[in-house]
Parts: sequence; C-alpha cells; structure tokens
Amino acid sequence: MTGGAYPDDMTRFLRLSDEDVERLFRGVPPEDDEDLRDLAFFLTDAAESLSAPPSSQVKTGHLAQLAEVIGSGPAPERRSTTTVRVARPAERKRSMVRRSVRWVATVVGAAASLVLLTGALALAGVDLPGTATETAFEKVLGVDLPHQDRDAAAGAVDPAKLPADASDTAVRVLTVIQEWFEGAPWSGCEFGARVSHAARGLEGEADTSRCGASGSERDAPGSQGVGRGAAGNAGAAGNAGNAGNGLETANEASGGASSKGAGAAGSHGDVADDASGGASEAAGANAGS
Amino acid sequence: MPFGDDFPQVLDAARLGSDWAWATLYRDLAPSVRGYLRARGAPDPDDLVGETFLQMVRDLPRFEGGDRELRAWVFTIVHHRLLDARRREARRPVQPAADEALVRAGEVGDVEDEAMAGLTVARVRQLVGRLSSDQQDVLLLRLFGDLAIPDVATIVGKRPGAVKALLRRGLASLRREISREGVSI
Repeated sequence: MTGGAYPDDMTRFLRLSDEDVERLFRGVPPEDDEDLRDLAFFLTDAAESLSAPPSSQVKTGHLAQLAEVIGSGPAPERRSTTTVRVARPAERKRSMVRRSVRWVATVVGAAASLVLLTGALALAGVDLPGTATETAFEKVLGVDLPHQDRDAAAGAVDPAKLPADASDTAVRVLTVIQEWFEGAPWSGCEFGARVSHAARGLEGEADTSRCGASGSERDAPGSQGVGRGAAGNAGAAGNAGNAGNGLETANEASGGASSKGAGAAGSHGDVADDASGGASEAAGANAGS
Repeated sequence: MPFGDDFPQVLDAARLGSDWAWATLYRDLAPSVRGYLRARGAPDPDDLVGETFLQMVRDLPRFEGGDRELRAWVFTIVHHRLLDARRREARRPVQPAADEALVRAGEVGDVEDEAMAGLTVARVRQLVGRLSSDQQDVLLLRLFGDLAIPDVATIVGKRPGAVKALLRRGLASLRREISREGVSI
C-alpha cells in the first residue's frame, strides 16, 4: 500500500535511516534531503499547533474531577484494587434476573411455609385464632388480610374448645396464651419462655431469669402476633416441636431474605470485582507497554 | 524528558493522591494527549483527556517505570480510549461540532489567532486524514507521544518492523500531499 505516495517516493522513504526519521520529527530534514524540509516543518508545526493545552475552564474541571476521585477513597492504592467498571448490559441483565428470582423464591418459600403450617394445624383439628393467620401473613408477606377480627382472637384462644383428644401439652400452651390475652403482666420474653416451657411439657414454673427488665417484646405488636400464632398453633396441634418450627419457619423466611439480600449485594460486588479484574488486566497490559 | 529529575518525586506524590503532583502530570501530559486526540479527529478530545486522567488515577498504583514508560503507558490509555470512543460513536452516531467551530466558541482571545488556529487544526486533520488508519496511529503516536518505535509497536499491537514501515509510508504519503497542495501551516 502506497497510501497516495508515488513508488519512487516510497522507495526513498523506506530507505531513510531511523536517525533520519527522528530528525524529521524534530523538524530537521535529513542530510542530503533538503527537499524534505517542508515535511519536517509540517510535522513540528502540526505538533505545536494541535498540542495546545485544554482551556483553563476544562483544566479546572478535570483537576476537580481528579481530586474528587482521589478524595473518594482511603488511598489511591486501595481504590485501584476495587476499580468499578460499569457492568456491561448483559451482566446487568443477568444480575437483575438473579435478584428477581431470589426475591420470588423467598416470597414463594415464605408463603408455602405459611400455608403448610396452617394447613397442618387445620388437619390436626386446630381452630386458629384470627390474629394468628392475619399477623403471620402481615409479617411474612406484608399482605393485609381483610375482614380479620382482632378482638375475636382472645375469645378464640380457649383451651376448653380444644378437641377431647388434644394433648396435655396443647392445653398447657393454649392456657398460657389465654392468660396472655387476658392481660397477664409478662414481657414478651417472659411470655415466650412460658410458651416454650409449656410446649416442652416441663413441670413447674418457666425460667424467665434470662428476660431482662427491658424485655418489652410485648410492646412490639408484630412480634407478639407471630409468637402468639406460632405458639398457639403448636400447642393446639399437640406437637411441641411445631412451636419452634413455626417460629423457625418465619425466621428462616426473614433470615433467608436477609441472606439473599446479602447474596445479591455480594453478587453485585462480584460483578464489580470481575469488572475490576478486567480493568486491571487491561491496565496491566498498559503498564507492560 | 517532561519531568526531568523531579519525576520520581512527582510520581510518588501522585500515588499518594497529591493535588500538586496531579496538576504537574496534567500540565505536562494533557497538551500532547489532547494534540494526539485532535489530530486523530476524536469526537470530544477534552472529554477523552479527562477520561484518560481518571484512568491514570485508578491505575497509577500498578504502574512501574520512568518517565518514558509513563508516556508510553499514558498514550496506551489514550489510544484505547480513542478506540472506545470510536465504537461508541459507531453505535450512536452524533455530529460533533467542527474543531474550528469549537475554537471559535472557546475562550475569548485574539480573533485572528484563533481563526488561524482553527484553520491549522482543520488543515492538519485534512492531510493526516488521508493516511490509512494504521499510518495515522503510528505517525501521530510518534509525533505527539514522542514515543520510540518499540513503544508504538506495543500500543498498536504490531511488530516494530511493521511499525517502521508504516511510519515511512505515512511520511511518504504526507510529503506527497504537502507538495501537491503546497501546504504551509
């Protein structure tokens, strides 16, 4: 490819020594090649003309940007290891899909746990207090069930209404819950300890020594609701383990959501790190030059 | 040697995030970086200068070498930024303002000087734009980066021998264009 030069010109330039080429770039024609003076001048003049510094306004803006980036991290060395490149569209899309799937899985898992729990209790012949289902749905799913009568809940928690073949454990647990509804002066922690004590079929007084003076869970309506529902369900089923299971299910649901959230954040960070890796590799190649 | 004997101090201070060090680097490197971008017809030279320095801030801790290596490294970044900008431009074509128009719209100064500067830029771009893309790369990296042949070869991903040949062909073509049009800038 001659690029527009005549063949004899091309031959001439190809025969120029490295030193002659350097002279041209310094604005000095090669010895014995004075007719290349125009080219030498053009090169130096072009470099000078186009190499004007950015305007003072642009320069100020750039330096301010640099200062901002430098000041935004603990130190440039550390910042470089966490270089964040904007994820490519495909990566962003995958990340969003993963987050959506996690969220849906969490919600579906929580809902399934609720349905299974309440269904199992229904099979066991338990008449759930209205607030149990309501509060569980509200707390786990954030769904406000209509036509739920909270006042009726207290009346519904009556050990006398249990089936004749209900276990003693169920009766004891429901008795504790009924006392709670009727205004027993327990903190939330104490209430939980009593339910746990009754659900495990232990004799004597429940151990509330671990409940501090500030154990005011009773003041937290949401936590009360979940505790009541789960404990009441467990007691009525005659399966002490259900109380724990019920709570664990809710905890797992919320804990699962938390961990999923952390996972999502982690995966987001991974994308950034991957990106950083990519940038680092590129920079490494640059530095290698 | 843009930095001379002060280079190690400037580099160390820049690594620590010193404002004065970055101002020094900017003062010494930005004009030639901008010149290369303008000669290559970059869509927004000033914007790319800013991007280049931001990447320098991020990657400087991994840089090793002297001032010659620094120039080679900086022009590697600039070259890659230019390629990225070209790809972006290809995906989303925009019609940038002509460089001479930007010169006129820039700082208020001597109108005649600014007009001449605009004409010069346009003329250089017109002539250099007639070279092949590879020829433009090696010639302008050599001219504005003041880079040695091996450094240019690394940046453009070619062998030094191929770069030498491209450089000579580019110079021959340029000389032909100059003599044909009687260019004087």
